[in-house]
Amino acid sequence: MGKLSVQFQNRLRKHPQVPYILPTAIVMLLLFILPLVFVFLISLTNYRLGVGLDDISFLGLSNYKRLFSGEESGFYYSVFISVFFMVLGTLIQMILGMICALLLNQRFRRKGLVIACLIVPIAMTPSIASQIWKLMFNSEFGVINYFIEAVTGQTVQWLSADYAFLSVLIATVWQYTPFVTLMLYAGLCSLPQSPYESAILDGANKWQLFRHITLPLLKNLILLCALMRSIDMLKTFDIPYVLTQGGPGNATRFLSLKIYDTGFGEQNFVGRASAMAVVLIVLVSLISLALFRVMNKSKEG
Amino acid sequence: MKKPLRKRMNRIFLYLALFAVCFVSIFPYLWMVLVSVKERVLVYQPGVWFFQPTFENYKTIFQRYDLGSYMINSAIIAGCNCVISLFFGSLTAFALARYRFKGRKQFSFFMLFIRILPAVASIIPLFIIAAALQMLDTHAVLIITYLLFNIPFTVLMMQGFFEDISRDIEEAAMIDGCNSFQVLYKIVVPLAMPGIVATAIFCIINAWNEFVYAMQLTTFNASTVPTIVQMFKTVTGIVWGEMSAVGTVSTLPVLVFAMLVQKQMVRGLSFGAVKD
Amino acid sequence: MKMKSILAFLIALAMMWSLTACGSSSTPETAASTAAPAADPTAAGESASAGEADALEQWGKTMQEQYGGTTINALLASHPSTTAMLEMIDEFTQLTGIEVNTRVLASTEMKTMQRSNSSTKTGIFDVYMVDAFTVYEYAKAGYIENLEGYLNDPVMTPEWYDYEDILLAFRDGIASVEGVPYLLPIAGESRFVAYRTDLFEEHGKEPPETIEEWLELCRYFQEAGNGDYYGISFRGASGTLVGSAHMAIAYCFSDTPIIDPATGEYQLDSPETIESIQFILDLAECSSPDIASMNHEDAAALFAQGKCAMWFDATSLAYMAEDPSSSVVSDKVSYFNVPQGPAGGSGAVAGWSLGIPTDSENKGAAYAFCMYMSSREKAKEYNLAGGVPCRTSSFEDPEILAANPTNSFIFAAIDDAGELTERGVSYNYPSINVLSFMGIIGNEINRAEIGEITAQEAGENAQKQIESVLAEQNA
Repeated sequence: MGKLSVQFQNRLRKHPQVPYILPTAIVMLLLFILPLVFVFLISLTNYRLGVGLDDISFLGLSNYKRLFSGEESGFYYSVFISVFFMVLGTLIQMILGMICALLLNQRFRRKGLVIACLIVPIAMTPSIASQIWKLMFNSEFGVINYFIEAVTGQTVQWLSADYAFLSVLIATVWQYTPFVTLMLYAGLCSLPQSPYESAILDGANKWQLFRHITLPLLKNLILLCALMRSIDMLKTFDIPYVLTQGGPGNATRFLSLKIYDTGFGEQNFVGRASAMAVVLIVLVSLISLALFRVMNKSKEG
Repeated sequence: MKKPLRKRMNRIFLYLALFAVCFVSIFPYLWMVLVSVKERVLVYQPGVWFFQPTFENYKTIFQRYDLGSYMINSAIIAGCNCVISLFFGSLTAFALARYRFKGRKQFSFFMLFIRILPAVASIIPLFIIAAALQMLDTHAVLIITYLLFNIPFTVLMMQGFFEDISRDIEEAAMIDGCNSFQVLYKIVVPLAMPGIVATAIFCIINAWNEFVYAMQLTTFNASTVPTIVQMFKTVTGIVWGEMSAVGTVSTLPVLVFAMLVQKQMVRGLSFGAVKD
Repeated sequence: MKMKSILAFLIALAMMWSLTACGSSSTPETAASTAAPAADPTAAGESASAGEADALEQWGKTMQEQYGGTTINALLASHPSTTAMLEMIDEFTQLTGIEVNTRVLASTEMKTMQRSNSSTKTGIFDVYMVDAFTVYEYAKAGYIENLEGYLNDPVMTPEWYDYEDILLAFRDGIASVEGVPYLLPIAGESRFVAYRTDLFEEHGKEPPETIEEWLELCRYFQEAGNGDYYGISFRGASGTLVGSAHMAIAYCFSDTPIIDPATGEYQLDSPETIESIQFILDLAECSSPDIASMNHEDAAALFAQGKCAMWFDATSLAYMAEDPSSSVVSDKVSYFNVPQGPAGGSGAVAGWSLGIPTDSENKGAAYAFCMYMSSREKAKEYNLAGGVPCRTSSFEDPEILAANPTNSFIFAAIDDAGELTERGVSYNYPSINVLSFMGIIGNEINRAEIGEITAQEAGENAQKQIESVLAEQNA
């Protein structure tokens, strides 16, 4: 017994990180890996909720074949708009977030009040907030059209096929930009002063300061934010689910909504939905891997 | 003469921009508050700004829908989950910040990678596991499930904070005979307090607002506030007034808490923000 | 050794955790059984006449003896009928000593909840509220209990329940599968068209007789409204929303618009079905440009705010136009049935019923609840509280008719369902896929609404997808 305990202590000395990491690793194994394996297994069958175990048959890769052969109508379109939404949405959130952070970083009174306002969208429950947006976007009785009509005399059909994508984008940007803003503002606060002072002595203008000092110093933080936002944008669900339910037509049927439509609610084709989920997971992994590479490179460089 | 004018213009522009940001941020919330005190027929008339407000909706949500017990469930779940997430997460973050070991980068990436699992994909497996463990409709099941996103989030945030803390103090403590756990809890944690507060707020917000898992895994005893929205999505349409009242009330605790600790939050965020 | 003991400790911890979890989930029941409320039979049937009150009391006593102190968990949809039931629960508990927990969800989420709980046999729920379109699926999957035994037992189903009084269209159409009663109907619905009497008068128009005339009227008012108001509104959003609107007119064009029961073959690409899809598209032309994203609520709001001449939706939603607190046109509304098409009337039958999940552990008490809520004895109270009627006696009761002016129109709309039976057609075709296929068809129609594809292509696409599902199921 004593011998074993010595051995154990030696091992611990060699790998001191183990007791720190173990609890997290166990929890994540249970909550992440297990469902992941499960989803993959289901994606190989024609499983539906309510079908007896005997009626489930193993289909091999046929669910995947359906997806990639274009037999599943609108699948490629879903992938396309999901990626497009991610790129566009992340870009807008990062740019707007940076602008707001720079504004916040100015000297002015009542800064606390402004930050409090920014916390509101973060704190609002997404499922309720999107319902309110739906009410505001209503083309006949919405407050947004009420304002637009008062100014221009025209109205916009916010939830029609042409504008639904834009509406989802607006609500998403509203809800998640403040998080980016606060992170970037915090970053700006902690920047060292000395490089700025010497650059000002050299006669640099504001844009040059931003371009050559602020951006490089914040690069990692920006990339981390962008990475987190891109992943969340690809998985986007709550807001389009409430606002448009994927419609009209397929205008806002993002991959996550397509999964939900196929696997839950009225349709209940869990096997097919799982195959799509696996595709989504692979897609998100590839994109996050790529961004992570960029991050690591910039860390080393 | 020229310079002050330009400066003043800049000032005006700055205030205008700030006003615009604030207005856009809080407008949906204000609109929700407005809807919650409107009569039902007025909900679809955005042009009506002056009306006799009614507080019936607030009465209904507490008396008929028992919002109070949902809020208690939410508080228990968000609170416990936050404590566990912070505990496990900061342990891991500490190890990632302090020790150089094989697979460190991979583990760090794995923490980010966990975010990729979409809720709609994991809900059926988690439901089946919870059913097998007879844990459906308990506080514990949501407390544990929410670790899925809150632990990685804590790790990501706290790693930066820990890396920023000077090691000299720790080394001094080590020499005084503290072991590494003691160093963490006696020295590092107090120093990283603002960061912990900032992380805690986001953990609580995440857990407080989560909908998909709460919807499926709980029914009677442990349902959280966001699931109450379901009751207002009737086959005859949304009961806007009552839903808005719930939205207004349920956002308040988080909002008030976030505003109270605002200073620590920004300090905390900036603490770990810039790292290399 | 240390590692092992840590591991053992962790396992023990996990086991304790799951044990306490089990314990806590069952505590409410034990707590309830120790604190069983003393029944107060005198307070129960105040409104009922003396003899019936006796019968009710008698039953209450029997239930009290058998199930007093039990707690049952009911999963209900957000629906006017649920609101009425919620109001009656206290009385039920007083009479029988059975405590009732309720969980109210939107219908889509509720179905997901039912499927996931029943397929893993969690035993959490004792009462389900079931949509007409899922009856066949649930019965075939063994989710819901066969109620024949209960219905034949005079103790469980006393005289005052009166099963025969429920309209045949609902008894057979939404609550039974192959003649076996699985559910007790609690809300009967059909589809009809609401119209603005003031606009019709102003333009000298009469309610239409045929669907061509109906479409004509829609076009007329779309033009006359000139953007101030539209011809018609209905649920046009993707999935089951526009799918159900389509199904409600499909039987006007063919006896077998979706499946041919004789051969079991789907025929969404048949000329008649394509015609019915085209009809929906034509209706959509006479509506708001937003039609393709409108759910039932948006459609109702458009009509209730005076923006439409007509509104085509479920009978149970009529009160949204009638209720002055949500409608500005409440005193200018009347209704007509879906007009006759080439193949006859539409005869839509839908609705909700109560049933008992097979994994329930309190089936008797659960049945008492379902029976009480849907009984004739309680029908009046239930209907006056907003519960949707489905009994002949309710539709004949002048007080109930007076309480809700739409009830007589609803009755007329449901009468059409009888016509469908005469044609030898059952509205809810026997398939576990009714809703899935409605969703598939709806998605394709919705694409056609925004001009992505034609009616022909919509029908063909839907047919192809349905065939692929069937092939997979039979694999």
